[in-house]
Amino acid sequence: MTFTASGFFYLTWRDVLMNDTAVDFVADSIKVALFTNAMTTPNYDTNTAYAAAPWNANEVGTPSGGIALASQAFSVTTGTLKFDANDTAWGSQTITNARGCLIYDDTIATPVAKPAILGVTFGADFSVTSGVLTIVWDAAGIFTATPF
Amino acid sequence: MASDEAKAYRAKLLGLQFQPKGSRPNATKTTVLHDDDRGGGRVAGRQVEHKDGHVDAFITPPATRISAQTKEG
Repeated sequence: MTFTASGFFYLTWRDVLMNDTAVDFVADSIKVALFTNAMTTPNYDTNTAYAAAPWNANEVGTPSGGIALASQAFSVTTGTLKFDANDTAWGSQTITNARGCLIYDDTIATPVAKPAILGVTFGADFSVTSGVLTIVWDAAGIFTATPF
Repeated sequence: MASDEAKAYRAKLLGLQFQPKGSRPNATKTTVLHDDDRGGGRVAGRQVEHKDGHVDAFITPPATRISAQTKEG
């Protein structure tokens, strides 16, 4: 019952790479939803989507379903592909013990609705009181792909 | 009670800057909640407590990485 690791959801990425899903990281509504550490440990090999276990419980923050990324973009620097977007902020509210987030495609309905793309742990619980919770995406981006 | 103008004049004589009530900065206390190496990246998080009682948080998780082995030859 912990959210200790970040990762890519295999089933979604397989479908993306096999052209079995029409996920568009830039044009679609890619949302970020917050979860507490009370959730069942994510399984990046088998988890499928937002609203499917374990991503159907222990969500925090308003609105339910999370906040859509804005200004998503891909870029490349000396062979490293980067996916980035504007920082994501939950407007003035009280949020208790956000431990990590799920990034998913809110636009896609088939073959799997709202497919899970990426899970990101924060490593600790974060709370705000009548305040703003902001994920300041790393300068390296939300995720990168690097040949080695 | 002295007017803001009088207070500003007195502050000026003392070489100070007077800030009328309501325009003072919302004093904050910043606490680092988490700062840790994780998977080759650094997770950083801080909490900012404001004078009016509201609390903000800022989280910077490291970019999640895909490493792709390429075949050569």
